[in-house]
Amino acid sequence: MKKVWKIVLIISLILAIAGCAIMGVAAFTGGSFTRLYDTVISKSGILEQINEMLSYIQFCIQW
Amino acid sequence: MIELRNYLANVDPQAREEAISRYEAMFDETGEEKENEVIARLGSPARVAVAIMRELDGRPPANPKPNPAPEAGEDESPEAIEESIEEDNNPDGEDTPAAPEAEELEKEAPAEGVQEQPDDSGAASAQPVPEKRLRPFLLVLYIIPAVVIGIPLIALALAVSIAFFVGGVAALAGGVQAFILGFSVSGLIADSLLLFGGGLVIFALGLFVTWFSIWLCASSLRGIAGGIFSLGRRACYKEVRSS
Repeated sequence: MKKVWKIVLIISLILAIAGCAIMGVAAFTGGSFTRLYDTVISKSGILEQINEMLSYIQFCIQW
Repeated sequence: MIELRNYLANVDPQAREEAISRYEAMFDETGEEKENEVIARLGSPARVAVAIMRELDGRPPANPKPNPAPEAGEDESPEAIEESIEEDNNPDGEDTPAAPEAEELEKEAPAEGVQEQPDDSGAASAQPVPEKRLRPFLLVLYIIPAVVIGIPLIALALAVSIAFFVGGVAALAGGVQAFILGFSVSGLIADSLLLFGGGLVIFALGLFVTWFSIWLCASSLRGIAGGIFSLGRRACYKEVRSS
């Protein structure tokens, strides 16, 4: 159990640090979350999917 | 030596001191350098204790050495010691098998460093052995509240674990989706990088939360079940002293 914890923590940390580094680079090179939201996220349907998932979880909890 | 003394706590003090002083003298003769070698050849303190006890009982002594004979070409002094012990314990030269009592004695042995009990009587006294007996009426009485409290507790732990698990899996899926979405951005590369980075962070979070939910489920169920059982054992068993 402890070994798996270690492995999961290390992998998660590496991924998170890599993600943060990539986002930092993106921010320095002119990336913008607002523009990303307007151009990509709002049109991709991902928000609807998240809403659906949240309502499903809510349903499960209420049940 | 402390351990050996503990094993021989119930033996006649005079005989015990004689036996121990014999072994102490043997260690003094060999010196500190060869001490570990001699210990390895003699075997565990339990085996030595069994050999001594058998010798005192007048039974054929067990061979206290579980280890193989030393190879040729080694220093003679430990072998001489080994032979002298063998002669002490087994004057006929018979190779008796290792005593089964040694394992038993090892299991019952007091912890190292525990002070021996003074035995002024001089004879091996029979200590009353505590025995646990089940009380069926109490067991029935215990099972009812244990089930009434235990099942909701287990259900609560399961529900919390499942909620975490669903959240973790959702985060994993979201991370992968954000990563894939990064390829479909037809504008600035910086925006794609934002999605890649965000996807990785969300995936990492999802991985952590998913594993946490699994760990939470396993440890909480084990803890609740273990707690109920150990409480039941304490409540429903009565300790009876029998000689």
